[in-house]
Amino acid sequence: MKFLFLASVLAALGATCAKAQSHVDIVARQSNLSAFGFPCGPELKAQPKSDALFRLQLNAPCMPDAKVTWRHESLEFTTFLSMTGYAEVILPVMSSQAEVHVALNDVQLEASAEFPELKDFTRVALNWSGEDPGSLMAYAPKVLQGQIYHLGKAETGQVLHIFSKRTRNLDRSGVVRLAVETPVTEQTCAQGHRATILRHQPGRDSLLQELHLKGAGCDAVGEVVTFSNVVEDIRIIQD
Amino acid sequence: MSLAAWAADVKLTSRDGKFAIEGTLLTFDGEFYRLETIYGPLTLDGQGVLCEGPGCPKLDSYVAEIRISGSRRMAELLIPSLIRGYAARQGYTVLQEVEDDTHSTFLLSDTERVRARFKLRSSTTSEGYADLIAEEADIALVLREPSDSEAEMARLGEAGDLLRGRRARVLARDGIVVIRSDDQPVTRLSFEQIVAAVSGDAQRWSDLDGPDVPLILHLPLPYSGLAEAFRDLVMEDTKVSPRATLHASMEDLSDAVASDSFALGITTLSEMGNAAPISILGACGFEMAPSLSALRAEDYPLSLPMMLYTPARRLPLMAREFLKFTQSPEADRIIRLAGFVDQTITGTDFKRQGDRLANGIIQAGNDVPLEELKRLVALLADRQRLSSTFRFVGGTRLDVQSRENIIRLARSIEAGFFNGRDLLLVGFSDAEGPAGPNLRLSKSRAETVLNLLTETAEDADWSQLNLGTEAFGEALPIACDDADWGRALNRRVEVWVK
Repeated sequence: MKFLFLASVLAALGATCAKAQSHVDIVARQSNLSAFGFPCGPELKAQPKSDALFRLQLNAPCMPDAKVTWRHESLEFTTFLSMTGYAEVILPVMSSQAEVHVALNDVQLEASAEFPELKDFTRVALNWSGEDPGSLMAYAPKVLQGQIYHLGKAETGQVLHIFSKRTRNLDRSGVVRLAVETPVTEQTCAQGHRATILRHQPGRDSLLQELHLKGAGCDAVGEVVTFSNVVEDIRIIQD
Repeated sequence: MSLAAWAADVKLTSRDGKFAIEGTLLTFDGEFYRLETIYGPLTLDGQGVLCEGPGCPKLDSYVAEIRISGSRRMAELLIPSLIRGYAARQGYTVLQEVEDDTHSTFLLSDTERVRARFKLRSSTTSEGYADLIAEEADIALVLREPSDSEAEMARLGEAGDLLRGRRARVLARDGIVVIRSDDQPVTRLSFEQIVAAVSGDAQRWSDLDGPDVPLILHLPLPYSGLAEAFRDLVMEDTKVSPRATLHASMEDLSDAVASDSFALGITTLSEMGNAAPISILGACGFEMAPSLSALRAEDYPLSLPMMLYTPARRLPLMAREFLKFTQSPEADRIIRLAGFVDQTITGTDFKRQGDRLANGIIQAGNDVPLEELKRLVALLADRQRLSSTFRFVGGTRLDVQSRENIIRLARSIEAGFFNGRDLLLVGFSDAEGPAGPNLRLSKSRAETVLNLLTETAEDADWSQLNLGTEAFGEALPIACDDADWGRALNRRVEVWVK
């Protein structure tokens, strides 16, 4: 694992603590500590886990509630730091040489690691942009059921859903049906949604698809539209 | 863009000014003007003429529009993958605009602007032909050859004669499969039993040598290409049970069958989903399990060709490039990855044909002397059988898959792929009638294939390879001769190479 820390602590301080008003805050800034007495950082800890998962812990005590943008491959999602300036993410990686770029106000951090285990997994990521995102749905018999990871907060605009299933050495054929459900809202009824799909499947090239799911019309506000043919099903064929 | 909306007066003048013609612009495809004139419709090369008048298209904003319509089986997975593959090769980015589950538009752009719109409509084979005939599609996605009435309507309209020239391209092959749930113990059925189940004559699994439980039937919609192909190949004149649950989506059908141990369904190999297959049992003992390898070898009787049909009129350059791409090795790879049988020619060693040979020897009739079988083994033992097999509909007309095989094999020969090799076209017949005429018939079929190959491979250097024919009549049946479909499988010309 390689860990890169690109931002200097001072730069981070200047960017983040300058607006602090209270006496306590000023003392903290002078000593590079947050309001709770922790070093300002920011700091990104990255830890590759089993099942090709990347555990990422972001600590920026001087930036409570700040918006964080996480980028990986062509995907991105956004979250907010907690009141103490902390966030943790478990990311199912989409590349065996995985890089994650984190943008926190004007600070950039990055982490990278190798995930040889990814070759055993099939993953389909659906990245929403814009308001009122929908959901990635997966239907499969028990033996093929996988997990859907939900990353990002809808109110920040960028949400990422990743279906993941270990598919190497399965001893049966079968299909995981994938569908997309989108709510029709005032915001999306006319313009629809933009979304990106990234697919990783053993033995196949990675596939990136840009989608525009057209609006269902504003008479349909309140309904949920299901697209069954937008995301290719995962087929496991034993021949 | 097909610019019917721009229909207005235009005047096209040759660049030297010596020739001019006026008319109403029908279409402009980025290269060619199609004009309604007092002489009838005319097509003129855009490079040779100057356009004046309110109907003239803007040349620098031309966006090719390619309308593709037809079989859901093809429109849902295969065609989107091929459009993306084509775009990637040409360096275009793709944005898929999804209207609903049956209508999508793929916008292909370079760094400057959108260059093409591929409009994809997912419906049925019949609708694909109807759209092609009504000029509402440029490419039809179909699972069967056109019916007589479709061919006739096409001939009368702009689509032209669908049976002449290179109107059809076989993209891939799928198989029609009878499916059950994993829990249903009946794993093989004869054609007669399948017909009994689908017609409703057999209402319980016990009627099919299974447990005494009801048989719940799930079928594709009657006007889908799959149902039509199943009717042609299996049901013929027998009516389908009115009690069957009909499905528009094969995903729904296989999911319904997979979750119900009483269920029996008809679907495709690619859409078997989580259901299990039922093998087909010939009355004479052959058992044919549906698999990609059996389909590739053309040994499974219910093969479903997935075809593109194009009209006689000229298509936009981008459409023609796309069609060419669909026949490339890159496209074959995409087709394979999507779970279908592509058209790549592959070879199988003689020693891996054990079952086939054993079945053939067991089934060989009294008319086949041991000497003939010895001759067959001696001739073929050191050869590989190619996946291309040729079959005839009626007398000497090849079926659509075999016509595609001729083109593919001819192209490989032209490319020098078989230089230094010895290709033997081996004719076989069914066992109906006396052996002598059957042997002669199989010989003449092999010669027909040889003639078609040499005609098609115009640029081949025949001094680089040997191409010959041989015939064994009814010596090596691959299916039972007691049914039409079995006899049709047995009447064939195989290609053996060393």
